[in-house]
Order: sequence, then structure tokens, then C-alpha cells
Amino acid sequence: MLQHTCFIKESQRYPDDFKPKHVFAVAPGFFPHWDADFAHELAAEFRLPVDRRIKKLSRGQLSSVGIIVGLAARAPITIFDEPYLGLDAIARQAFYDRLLADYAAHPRTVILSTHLIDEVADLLEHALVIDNGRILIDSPVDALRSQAATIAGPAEAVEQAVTGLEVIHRERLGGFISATVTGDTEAAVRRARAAGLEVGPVSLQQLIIRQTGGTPTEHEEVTR
Amino acid sequence: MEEGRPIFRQLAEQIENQIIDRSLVEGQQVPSINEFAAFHRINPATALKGITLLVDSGVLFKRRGIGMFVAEGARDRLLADRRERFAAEFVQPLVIEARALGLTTDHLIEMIRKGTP
Amino acid sequence: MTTTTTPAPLTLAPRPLSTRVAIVVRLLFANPWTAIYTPLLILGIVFLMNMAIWGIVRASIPPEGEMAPSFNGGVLFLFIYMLVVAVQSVNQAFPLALGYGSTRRDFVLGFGVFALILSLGYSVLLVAGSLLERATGGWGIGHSFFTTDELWRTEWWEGFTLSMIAFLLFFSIGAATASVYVRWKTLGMYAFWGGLVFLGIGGAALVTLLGAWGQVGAFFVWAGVLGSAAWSLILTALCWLAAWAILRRATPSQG
Repeated sequence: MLQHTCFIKESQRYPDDFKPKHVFAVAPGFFPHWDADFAHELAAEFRLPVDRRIKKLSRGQLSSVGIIVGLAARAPITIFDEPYLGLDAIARQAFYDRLLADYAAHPRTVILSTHLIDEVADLLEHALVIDNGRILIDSPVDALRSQAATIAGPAEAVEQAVTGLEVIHRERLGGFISATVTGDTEAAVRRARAAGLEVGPVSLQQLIIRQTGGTPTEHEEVTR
Repeated sequence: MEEGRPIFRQLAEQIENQIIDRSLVEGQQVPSINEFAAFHRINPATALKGITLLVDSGVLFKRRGIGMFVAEGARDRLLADRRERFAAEFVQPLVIEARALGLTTDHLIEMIRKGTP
Repeated sequence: MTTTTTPAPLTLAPRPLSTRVAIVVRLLFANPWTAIYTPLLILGIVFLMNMAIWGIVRASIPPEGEMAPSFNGGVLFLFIYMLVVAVQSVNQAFPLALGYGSTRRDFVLGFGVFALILSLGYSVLLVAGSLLERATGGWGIGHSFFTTDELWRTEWWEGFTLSMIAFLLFFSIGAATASVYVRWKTLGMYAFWGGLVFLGIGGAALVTLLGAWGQVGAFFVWAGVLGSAAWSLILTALCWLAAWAILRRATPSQG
């Protein structure tokens, strides 16, 4: 199984005498589907100095070494454990774009663990939220999107609209209330609209924050 | 893509809109799944789901090995469908909001006449 | 459509052991400067400096003056250097090999092959140097750089065997030391060296107490240089076993 798996972790250590080119030179042995041209292309795109000692690379450059290995390995099971440390927004977008394009051309299972939920929400097929070792959410992302809504308006009208639904969060401002509900929200949303209440979406990130009760946690996202 | 609604539904709607406003004409080939995915930065499986929705409803049809095309009569059917839903999706909220502001139906009709040349 | 094609079922059987070990060997040799170019470069510089000094010394004495053949430990640094290479390889290449899917067994075996190749290569180099040295009458000036011991003056294979055994011993000590570090970090190092010093002093004290230094000396005389070296193979094997046992349960550190 191991030769089908590529595990890129943020804390990966490399030998002190290694340069990125050494990593790319040994990678084909470990990953039989390695694409050297692709690795080259990526190194140019991420502006990685392949001939500089890894010890002397910046945090972001170090992260791009991992990202390049993870992408060019084309392993049937690829795991990225927070691969973006030190990468700026542009480089992260480049990573997401490359990941998506290469995934489309070479379908495989990609497991991405991240704290930047909103950045990757659209890329995901399946989300797994783990809070203190407990699985909190295990669902297709599409289902999550349609299963949550925020309904806001006068307290009484809102409470009426959300009866029978699970309210995972309530915010009050005088007589005004904003309730985040989950479950089969379709009917409630229609009722709320008809009653002139404000209906808003819940982003994956907000949903996760609500579900975890706002305490800091580890999040695990799975895309496929 | 906006939050709150499944992405595949939003993608299907966007393609429908393009067919209605004629940026996609009947018989024309639509972009591939991967092109949609890359453009919208969404998962290819999600894009596939959106396209499948349109294939199932007969808006698009598949030509094996070539790609996806807009079906004949798709625009008329989409228009009919949208007209049917127009009252529920646009008129009703309008009337509800107007009532909340104390506008009568006559007021509304007058405003609509003024607003449309 | 690309997204709907089912990939071919994955073969679940691991790749052959030889392939997996070869990958580790390749990883250890990935930067040839560390284990090959740098030591050769140092050896070359030390050799040239040695020759120059010897030349000056030689020129300062009258031609008819008698001169003992020179010995020096210029090549000995190679052994210490290889010990350091072993420490670094186990400490630094182990986390990468494991991170990229090697098993601990693959790594230990791969490191063994790596050590064997280097020991063989450097032993051949030393013996060849020594043979050449003797054939040219000490590079024409009676200098002896590679021929470090009486043993080297007899049969070539005796020098070769001694060198092989010594290299392997240094590699294994390095591997064992580094594996203690990889698994138990600084605390392990303190315990390891503390224990070693304790054993050394304890052993010496025991020998003194028993008044057995004569016997110890007699043992080495009896065993001879090559024999004593052969006995060190036990230590080499123990170090390997220890390294394997320790690395089997070691998890590379984070960061």
C-alpha cells in the first residue's frame, strides 16, 4: 500500500546536505507515478531555487517543496497535511489551481487537512471535521451547503419559522434575532421568505465554527 | 460561487442562464467538465453533478467521445419553466416587501408601469 | 469524461525488497558530496600537504643520512569521517525515507548496503594507494602515507581486511549512536554516553582490581592486529542489532 500513498506533512524533515533537486531526484524511487517534467514546471511556477540548500530556504519555499512532491508524485492516495505554511495568498491560489487541474487530468484521492476552510471549501467533495479526536461532521460538502441557513428578523417570527429545526446558533440584538439552523431547511426557508424574514447562507467555515461551539479545533477536509 | 446553495445547482443555473440569453445557442458545444471545474475553481465531481442535472432534464445531450451540446428546443423549455416559477420567486417576495412598506397593489402596478419604458 | 473513469485497481502487494532497499541506498547517495566527494577532496589535500612537508624535511637532511620510513595517521580521519556520515545519515535521512513510504526495515537494510559499498570503496582505495606507494618507493621520496601499519607491508589482503573491518565498525557505532538519538533525543545521548563511560571506567577498575592487565595485554598480543580486529566484528554485529531494535520503534521527530 505504501507505494501508492504520498503523505506530505508540514513538519517533514530533510537531510541538512539536501537541495530541492536532490529531493526531486530521489522521489521517483518512492513514487512510481512521478512526473519529472511536471515537478520542473511547478518549481518554476513557485519560483523555488532548486539548487539552494533546503536549510536555507524560507518557510514558504520549504512548503512548496512539499507541494511539488505531493503533486508530481501522482500517488493514488495523496495526503496534504497543512501544506501551505508560509505561502502567500498568490502561491496558495496557484497550489489550489494546480491541484484541481492535475486532479482532473489524473483522478485520485486527495486528502487535504487545513485550517483555511473558506479557501478550499469549493474544491471539496467531502468534509470531515474532527474536533478533539471526535468526528463532528462527515458529509458531502454539497449536502452541508443546502442543510444550513441563517434566518434573521423579529424574534417571534424567527422562532416560528425555525420550529422543528435544529438551531445551532442564536444571536440576539434587542428584539432582533439571527438563528442558524441545520437539517432540512428548505421548507423553513420558504416560510421565512414568505414571512418577510431575511434568509442568508452559511459558509462551510461558519457552519464548522457553529458546530464546534466556537472552540479552536483541528479540521480535516477530504476532497476526491 | 456563492455560499448556501449547492455548487452544482448554481453551475446548472448559470448554464441555463447562458442558454436563455443566447450566449450558448442550441446545437452548440459547451465546455468540458474539467474546463468548468478549472474556471469556477470547483471540484470536477461537482461540475459533473451540475452537468448531469442538465443532461437528465434534457437541456444538454451527450455525444459519446465528443462532448456535451445544447439540445434543440432547450431554450423554449427553459423559458416556459422559468415563467412558471416567476410568480413564486419574484412576484411574491415583491408583494410581501411592498405590504411591509404599506404599498397597495395599485401602487405597485403604477410603479412597474413607470419603471419600464 | 475524465472524472468518471475508474482507475485500474491498485496492486496491494509491496514492491520487491531489493527495489525498496535500492531506493534507500539511492537516497543516501543522493548528494554525493557528503559521503564521496568531500572526503576524497580532504584526503587529496592532506596527501599533498603531507608530501610537501615530507619533501621539505627530506631536503633538509644530507643525502647520505639514514632515515626511518615515515608513518602517519593521515588516512585515519576517513574512519572518523565515516562515523559522522553514519550518524548524519541515520539521523537525517531516516525521517525523509519514512516520510516518503519506506519501512524501518527497508531503511536499516539500505543503510547496511550503503555502509558496505563505502567500506568496500574506501578499502580498495587505501590498499591501491598503499600498493602504489610501495611500488614507487614511497612516491620516489620514501614517503609513506597510505601504508599506516606493519600489517600493510605484508599481504595486500590483510590490509584490506583490516580496513574493511574498521570501516564497518565505525559505521555501525555511528548508526547505533544515531539511532539512540533518533529515538530518545538528548536524554538518550546522555544515558548512552554516560553508560559507555561508566562501562569503560568500571571495566578498567575491574581489570585493575583483579590485577589482570597482563592478561588483557596478552590477549591482544595473542590475537594479533588482524585477530583483534576480527574480535571487533562482535561489537559491529551488536551495534547493528541495537540500531535495528531501536529504529524499529522509533518515530522521527517533528520539525
